[in-house]
Amino acid sequence: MGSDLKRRIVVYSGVVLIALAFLVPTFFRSKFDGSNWISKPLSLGLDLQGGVYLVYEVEVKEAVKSHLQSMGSAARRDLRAKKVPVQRVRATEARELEITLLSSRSVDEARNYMQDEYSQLTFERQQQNGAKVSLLYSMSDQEARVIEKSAVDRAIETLRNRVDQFGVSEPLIQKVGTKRIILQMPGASDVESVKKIVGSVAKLEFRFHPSATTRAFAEQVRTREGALVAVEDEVQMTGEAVDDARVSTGSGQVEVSLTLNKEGARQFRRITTDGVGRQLSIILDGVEYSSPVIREPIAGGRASISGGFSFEEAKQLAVVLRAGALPAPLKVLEERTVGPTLGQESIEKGILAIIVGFVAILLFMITYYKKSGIVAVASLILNILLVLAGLSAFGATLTLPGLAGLALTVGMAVDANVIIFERIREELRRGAGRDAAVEVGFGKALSAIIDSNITTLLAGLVLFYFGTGPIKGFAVTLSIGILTTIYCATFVAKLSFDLFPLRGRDGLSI
Amino acid sequence: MELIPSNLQVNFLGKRYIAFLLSSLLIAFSAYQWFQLGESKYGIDYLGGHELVVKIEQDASSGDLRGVMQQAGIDAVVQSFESQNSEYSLRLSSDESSDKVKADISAALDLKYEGKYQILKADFVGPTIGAELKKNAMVAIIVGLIGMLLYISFRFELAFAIGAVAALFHDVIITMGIYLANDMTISVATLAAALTIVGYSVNDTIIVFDRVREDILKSKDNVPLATIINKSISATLSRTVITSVLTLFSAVALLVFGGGAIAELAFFLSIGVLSGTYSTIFIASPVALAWEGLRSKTERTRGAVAA
Repeated sequence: MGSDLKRRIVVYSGVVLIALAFLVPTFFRSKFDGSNWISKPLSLGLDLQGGVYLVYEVEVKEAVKSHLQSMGSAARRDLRAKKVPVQRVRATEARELEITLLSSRSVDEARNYMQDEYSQLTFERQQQNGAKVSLLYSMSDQEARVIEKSAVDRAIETLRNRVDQFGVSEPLIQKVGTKRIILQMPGASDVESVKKIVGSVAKLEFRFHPSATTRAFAEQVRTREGALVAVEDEVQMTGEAVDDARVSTGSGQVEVSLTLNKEGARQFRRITTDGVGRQLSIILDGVEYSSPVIREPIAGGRASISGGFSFEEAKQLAVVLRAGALPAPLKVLEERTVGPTLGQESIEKGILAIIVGFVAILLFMITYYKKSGIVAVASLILNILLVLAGLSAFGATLTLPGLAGLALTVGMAVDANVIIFERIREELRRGAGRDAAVEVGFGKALSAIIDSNITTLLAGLVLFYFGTGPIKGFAVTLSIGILTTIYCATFVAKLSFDLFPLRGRDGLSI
Repeated sequence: MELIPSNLQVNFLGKRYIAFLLSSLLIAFSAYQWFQLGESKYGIDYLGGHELVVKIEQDASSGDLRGVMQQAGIDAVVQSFESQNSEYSLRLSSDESSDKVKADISAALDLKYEGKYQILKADFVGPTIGAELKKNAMVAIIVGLIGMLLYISFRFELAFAIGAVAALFHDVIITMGIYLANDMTISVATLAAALTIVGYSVNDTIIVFDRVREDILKSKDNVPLATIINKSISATLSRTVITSVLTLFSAVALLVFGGGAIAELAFFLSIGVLSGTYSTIFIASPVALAWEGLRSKTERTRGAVAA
């Protein structure tokens, strides 16, 4: 045996071993759970195992608005402490903060304060409305962008916290572009509860019902039954005060009991001290859940929300309160759910299709090209193995279109063998000897195989670059398939011809 | 064993006008399908909207289901998947949330099938995403075409690049027409199938061109290009046919056994492979030859003017 032959055997066997090494976890899934092996088991796309795929857009404008609103609230507190009669602060859609004073006497004091404390806001104009004066401040684009970015980052963080509570294996949360979030939860079947828990803002607010003695401006919110009820526009405490939230059924009805953090406990004591006898409204995402009357100051940092909900609802509420509020609402841009039965069915059908196609090709090749056909089939099997190993090495996901790509790879891979075999036959007809025919056949076919496969590879790469989700899976499979095809059909098949005589009745069996 | 006799010599180029006529008719048919269907040829991936796949576990037809939806006042397009009689796709372009749509459809189905159905799949694509996917698809197709045109002109000659690109346009257009005529809609998977056919068509064409390139180098100066091309197509014919048959094995297996969305993709691939094989023989080379003829004619005219 020549040294060149030996070298090829060693190198090609090495490739097979490496491929097998990458594939071991896929075939022995259970034994490789959480191990540090070079590859992870080939993961299945949502379309194959069922699950939920959501594309959210963070409504960043709302985040900016609520940021302005909370700046305004803080300013109001300070200004009132300075005896400046602030009637109302309001963030507008136009990214402006409107501070309404009851009289024009304190305008200078208010403006000075704002300039000192909130220099990032620009004073725009002043509007006289009877005795009242409104001061309008705007936020710069740059400042708004910073807030938008941090809102998206915080939204991702919050989603992660919430998704963790689901205990789904391998959830994927990914930021796309500037304000989009892709959420993939394989295996999740109850989309509605996923969306409720993941997508609800969970903005918790404690506000007083209006009373004749305070100057606060009143707003209207709906109760759970849909009735309108007036509450003050001043927020006394938010969900940030919540440390932990649990469902409890102690008092005979389903409640969510809250444990407040240190700051929250202090705030809550102040609220319940100042507001003895008043009704405290507990509002979640703009809906009043309950409005108990405060009987006495409450120390100790415990509060509870009741509101006639079911146990399931209370559980979801506890989850979102624990994980924290989203900085802004999320809008669903795209949503795809696949039931687990469909996924299982798709795998079975896909594999059946591959096997049927493969067997048909196998029968044809062996009937038509005899012993050489066996070489082609062997290199085809190696090819499939390499494609799977490649997918696993890239950490790619096998999707339904990916399975189609695999089936197609089988069809197109065999083309390379056909090109070579037809070329060898031509040479044999022309009277060339066995070895010369093989040599020339492989040599002449090479340029055709490479040129034709590179053009297909171009299509695959374009698909990969512009495709999303499952289509990327198809493109990856197709592209890897093309590369392994060139390798198997030209190098490995050639080695087989060099190693084995493949003799038939009259010369080469082809 | 030989499928195609090895000494076969066919004057393929002689049939080119018949082929051009046939292809023109098919392309006209496709164009008619494309424009007549308007926006309705797109699925929710590109239009935005909701799509649900339901499985009815008792006797039903798409007609029944249409009736059920109409009764409930749901404006949905009902389609059955060719390969599975019990699975239907419902498409609607409402702005409602997917929960609401699902609830409405479940309520409507409950009236008729009383729980003997399953919602296998529910998709929602918002209008912004749909428009973006459409734009991405356009860019993908254009970038893909330019890439191939460049590669082929670099490896061969411009005339061959023109021939190959003409053949791939031919294949994608005709396949799309037949696909649409069979009541299937364009989805992201269709785009993937179309680009795969682009790849297949060019791949198939290149094998012949590779042979032409080789035969030109071997031939004597006075042999006309048409003769060389005929010889090259004949020599590679057996490979062209065998590969087409083998790829069809895979594609048809997917069509028959793949089910649902894969069946649509496989249908596109199957038609595309057939068209690709035909265009390799009857379109790509004749177009390359025509381009070459046109070029030499203009060169001669230019030469005459210069003289």
